[in-house]
Amino acid sequence: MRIVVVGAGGLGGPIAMATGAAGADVTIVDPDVVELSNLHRQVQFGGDDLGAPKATALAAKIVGRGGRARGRAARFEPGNADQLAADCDVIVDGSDDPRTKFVVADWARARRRAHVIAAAVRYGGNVFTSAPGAACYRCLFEDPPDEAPTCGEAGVLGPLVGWVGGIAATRALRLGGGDPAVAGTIWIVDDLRTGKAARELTLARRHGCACGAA
Amino acid sequence: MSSFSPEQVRRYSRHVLLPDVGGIGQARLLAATVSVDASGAAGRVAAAYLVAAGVGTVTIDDGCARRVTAAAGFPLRPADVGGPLGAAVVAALGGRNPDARVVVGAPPADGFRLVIDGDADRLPLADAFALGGAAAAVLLHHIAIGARP
Repeated sequence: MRIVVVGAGGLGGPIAMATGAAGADVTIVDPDVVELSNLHRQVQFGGDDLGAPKATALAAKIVGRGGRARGRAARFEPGNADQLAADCDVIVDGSDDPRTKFVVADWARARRRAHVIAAAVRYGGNVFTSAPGAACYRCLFEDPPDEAPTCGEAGVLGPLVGWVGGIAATRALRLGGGDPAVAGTIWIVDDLRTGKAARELTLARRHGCACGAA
Repeated sequence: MSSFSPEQVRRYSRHVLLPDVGGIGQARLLAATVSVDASGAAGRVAAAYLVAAGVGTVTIDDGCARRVTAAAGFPLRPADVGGPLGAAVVAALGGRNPDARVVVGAPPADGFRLVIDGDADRLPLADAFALGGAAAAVLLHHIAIGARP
């Protein structure tokens, strides 16, 4: 199973480590370096990693635990997507950038790849899962938001990204293993402070969407 | 956060921005004591997040006087297999945050205790992150808002 993980931070770290530990061959894509403000939630990194490219540093940790991984210090964009992800079975977005999520989702839809899009900010998060034939990301969100808070602007409770990342990893492994049951769903924790359980919604394809829903 | 060092201001910036946390909540985390049952994979992941968040003292429950198995994943490493579990967790997490002291020991009489339902040593790492992350998140919020053990 070949998985591409876009983002090597709070979400991408758990996703890459968990899928790598499960035996997947993992390619990690992230343009950033490790910064001190990352360390409260990016438990894959320590003080010794400060200044290192996140993608290659994370890949090295997976390899050090017996996994198969490589890092690409790059931003996932339409111009390099085929080069970075052409042979993947599943692509997973764990970036902190709404526009990158749409780039990943659009590429996966066009190339007919299973994909997972994960997000977390403040006290909540969600994991969207799709595969050919199921509702796509634009069936749900249509277009990137004009304004959406990032962790750097709004904050995030550190371990929340582990929770959301773990869910995303599980769904990626299920898709890669040929289980379509989670395709076309979104798992949501609205606000962990409420104590309410996470919920899952099954999505219908949106009429007129670019994915070809009738 | 006037009493925080410049490094702490940067390290915890994403916490201090949060409603319910702020500088006061982060200070509570830095002063807190949490005992963690690290016999299972989710507990070990939770311990990693508590250390990263700056919990002042993280005690690895020495009720897990057992050996590291080959199934043990992050934060443990292949070289840890066969060695004492508590000491391995302390070695893996102890140097990660200068604000967090990580020790092996019995749960202190005061402080918080984290035992995760459904945890197991052989839990897949994806499940360990989900369970451990969720448990640690709820506990950190609890501490930050000033709840008592």
